[in-house]
Amino acid sequence: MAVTTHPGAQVGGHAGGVTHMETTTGLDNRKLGMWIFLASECLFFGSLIATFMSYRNRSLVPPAPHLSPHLINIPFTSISAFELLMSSLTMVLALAAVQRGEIGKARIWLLATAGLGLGFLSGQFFEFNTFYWVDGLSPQINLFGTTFFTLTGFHGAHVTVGVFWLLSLFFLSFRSDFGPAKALNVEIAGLYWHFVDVVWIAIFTLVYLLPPH
Amino acid sequence: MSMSSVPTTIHDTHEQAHPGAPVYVRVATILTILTAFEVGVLYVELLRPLFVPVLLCLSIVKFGIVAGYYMHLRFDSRIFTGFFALGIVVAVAIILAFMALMLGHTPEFIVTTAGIQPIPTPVAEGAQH
Repeated sequence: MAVTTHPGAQVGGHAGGVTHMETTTGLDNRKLGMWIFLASECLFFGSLIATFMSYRNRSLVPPAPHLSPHLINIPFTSISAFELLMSSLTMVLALAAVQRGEIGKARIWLLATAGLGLGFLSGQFFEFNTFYWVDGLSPQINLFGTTFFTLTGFHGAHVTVGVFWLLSLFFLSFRSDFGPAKALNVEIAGLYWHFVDVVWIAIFTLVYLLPPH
Repeated sequence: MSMSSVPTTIHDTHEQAHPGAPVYVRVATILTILTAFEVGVLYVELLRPLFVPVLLCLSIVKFGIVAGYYMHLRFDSRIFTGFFALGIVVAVAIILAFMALMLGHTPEFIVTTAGIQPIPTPVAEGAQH
């Protein structure tokens, strides 16, 4: 694959300029592939959200938000949502640091992103535990339980994959060839991480914030 | 991988340089304020009739800001935006189609291990039987 670079551009990333690949689209195939994957992920989460929304308020037995008004802990989930939003900031700061060649800073931001992701997952673990052991909500008990655990569980699984990806990038950053030339690797991981964040923006509103009636 | 110093004019991909850390921090501040507003709205009884449109609008704005600035869709090729938008449009269509399908549909029977049973009336927590 050949690369044509405008003056001031950095290979593999886009800091300070624009890099055009000599592909049929003029774009890096790895990045284009990631975007196509994310488009397919939209359909995946769209189907899960569609199922959740269709069966919303249709559970016949508690616990469900329309039958048990205090089931959802909005302040607690807001903190989780804030954590994920801030992890998107640390992710772009990591990418910017790699593009500038500041590997030490990039490591700190990558680790911070993974840490915030772990914080989010801990919150989800606590929430699932509370639902199961305190409120008696399980995937089998009613439609809310089934659709809620499937939707948020798959999102949590995506966050887990993202955390492993970030940690692997953190360890790879200790290799001598890690630098601006490898910025695209960080950018692609970042795209995945931000996607997980935007999906949570939708889930947070539709599952937690919208009133049941 | 071979390198060429001559800019190509064949592929017009509309790409611009990505913004720097100050812009990212400003975007994070805006997202934090929007999230606080989103949660705060729920505690204002006066806004109850507007909950759904306000929350959906805020969610769409936050989604757009993250996709535009953090995922760099504002600065990268429109081809990326096209693919992502296509995925979102189809996903939203699936959600709306499913919801429309279920709108006003109240099943009268349910299939259980004991056979086909009439659907019982939903019972709220703490309600007397």
